Amino acid sequence: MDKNLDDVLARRACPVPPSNLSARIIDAAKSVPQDSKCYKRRLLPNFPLIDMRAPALAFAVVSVLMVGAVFITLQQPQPVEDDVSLAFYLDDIFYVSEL
Amino acid sequence: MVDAVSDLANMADEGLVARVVGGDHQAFAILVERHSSRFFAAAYRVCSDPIAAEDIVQDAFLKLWQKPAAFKPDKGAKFTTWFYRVVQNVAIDVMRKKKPQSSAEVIDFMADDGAAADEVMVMDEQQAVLEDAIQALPERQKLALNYCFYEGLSNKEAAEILGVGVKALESLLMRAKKALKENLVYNDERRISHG
Repeated sequence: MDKNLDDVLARRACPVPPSNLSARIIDAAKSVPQDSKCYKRRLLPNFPLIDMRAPALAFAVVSVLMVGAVFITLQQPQPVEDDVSLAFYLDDIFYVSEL
Repeated sequence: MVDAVSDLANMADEGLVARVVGGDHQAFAILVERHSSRFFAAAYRVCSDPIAAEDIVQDAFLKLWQKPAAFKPDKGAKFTTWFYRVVQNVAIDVMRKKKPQSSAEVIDFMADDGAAADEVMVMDEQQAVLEDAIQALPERQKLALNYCFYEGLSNKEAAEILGVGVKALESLLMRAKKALKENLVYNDERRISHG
């Protein structure tokens, strides 16, 4: 075989397409509907897709902050007024029973 | 009517695609007649199978018919450059689904009727060796070789179709030629040693 690569490559054969190939493709296209989306795309050509990454990150941060706030609230001691009022009533009851 | 058809026939590819977007069958027919042979050859060089090449070209043109708006001439792309990429993608899909086939099985149809039987056999064998060596190349090297050597595209156009820079394309071409040379020399030596 010829060692000159370009000469060798130039000998690569390629078949001729069948004479009815174009007619077949044209006929096939007649039975295929066009994609209706392409018309919609032309009506709204520059409508941008919304990038959801920033809203998702904001939602995650707000969720973490809210959970943290609830957790901290639950860690707080019970309101002092409740204890006082309960003690008051208990004192009252014991006082009455002592009488 | 005749004038309208003649106007279409003289229209540039990009103008015809714009009419195909509007559902113009006549414009589509002119595009098909203008380019089917060229893209059939391009598809054949990817898959080495004339029947598969017909299907690839048909699929690619039907994709164009279904979604002509996918071609964006405003970005300065030529229709043929864009359509090479469509054909290439369809061909790669077909090749991945298809089982590997030796070129010797499909090369017979190209034999010259006027040649003597033994000449035809030698030609067939050489064609099969060359075809197998090209098909054995990595996909991108094979495509680079096809576009630059057989389709006669400029390095810039071929690089655009492959989605790489011109330097990267030149590197692909160089590696393709090196691998081919080694493969062909190896086959030559093996044939001589087997007598």
